[in-house]
Amino acid sequence: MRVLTINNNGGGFADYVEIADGTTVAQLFEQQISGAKPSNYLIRVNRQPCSEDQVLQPGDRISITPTKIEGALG
Amino acid sequence: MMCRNDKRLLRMAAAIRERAMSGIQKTAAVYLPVAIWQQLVDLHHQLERARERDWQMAEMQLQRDFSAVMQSLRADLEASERALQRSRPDKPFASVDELYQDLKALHEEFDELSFDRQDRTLSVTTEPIELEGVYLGTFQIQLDWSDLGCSERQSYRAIAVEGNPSAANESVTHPHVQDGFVCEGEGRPTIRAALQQGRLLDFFLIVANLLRTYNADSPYVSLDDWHGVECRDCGTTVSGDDRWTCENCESAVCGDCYYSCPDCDRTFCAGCVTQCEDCDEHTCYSCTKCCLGCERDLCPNCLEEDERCTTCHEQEESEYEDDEDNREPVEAIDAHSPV
Repeated sequence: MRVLTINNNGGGFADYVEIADGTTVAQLFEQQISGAKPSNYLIRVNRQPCSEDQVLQPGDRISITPTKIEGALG
Repeated sequence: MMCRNDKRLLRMAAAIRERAMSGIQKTAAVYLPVAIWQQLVDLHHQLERARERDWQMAEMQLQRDFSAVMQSLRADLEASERALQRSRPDKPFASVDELYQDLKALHEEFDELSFDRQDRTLSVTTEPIELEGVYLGTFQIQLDWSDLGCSERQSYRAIAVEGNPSAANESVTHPHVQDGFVCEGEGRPTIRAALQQGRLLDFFLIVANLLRTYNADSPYVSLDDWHGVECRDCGTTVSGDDRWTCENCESAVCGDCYYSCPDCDRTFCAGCVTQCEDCDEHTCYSCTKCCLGCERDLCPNCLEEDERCTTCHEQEESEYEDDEDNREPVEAIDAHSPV
């Protein structure tokens, strides 16, 4: 099935990705940002807060936004 | 059924979308090499006629021409395709429905969401922000949506609502905000992408998270110095223009306590200068010299060229002159010496 992922971790890429049926939020997160802690990110499914074990549905919109974003001069 | 507030949000979404689409540069019309194609059609007719009439020389020439024009046509089509690829955006601007869903989510995410159609602004207000024990208060993130989707300039401001600016600089209301402008740092590409694609929820969440984060390596004013610092020498609180930093130990000192070394012109605290034992001037330890005669610590102005104080220098000269007077001329001794 196909879902829209918006990864605000770097360049803010928005892409449709193919995932297996039954994929959970935690599993998609691991695919997208391997090795990172989900607690350091704001994850939204269809713009709503979600649990790690929420099973994704076709057409879902998943956004991943870091909670710590460092501003800097220059 | 849609409630009154939902209708309001939907109208906002429609206005934002309409404005954004009028600003986004429309993709240039795709170039079609019609003239070259027509040339090819004409050549094809001529070639057929030459074959029918068995004009072999003309047929050979026309075949060469036909082949050359076909290559031109292929090159033009490829160029046209490349131009089309370049002009295609990575992701189209959000639809009215997507904008509406974002606005609904923003309404739930933030305490305050306000929209000004005339000024073309959309604002949310954060919760009170406190970083490393320093209370900064709430911030209104105000987005100017008049040129969303196509602007490279920073089209939003982070306005301190309560205002707890740094003691050092009143225009700095957050370690990464000056005059409302946010120093985006690592958030810059993500913020740009969110705005260009009209992802309003992502944009406001990213900026809010940036305001909730402190990067000690690159602030306008560090949180350690937010409320001003204590003068190392007299203990008063110093900030802004009245603050000086010792260039040796990096302590903060106030305008009454700092010293400027007369020799190197650098700034020091009282602990990093010494008083010249001749003229009482304060000089830094690097510029202070020891008199080679009396071994007192003196400033460079009180030392002669031979690195002695005036007294020792004069004494040295006087002793030298006495020595010279007592010495027998060398020539005279030589003249009386036996050969």
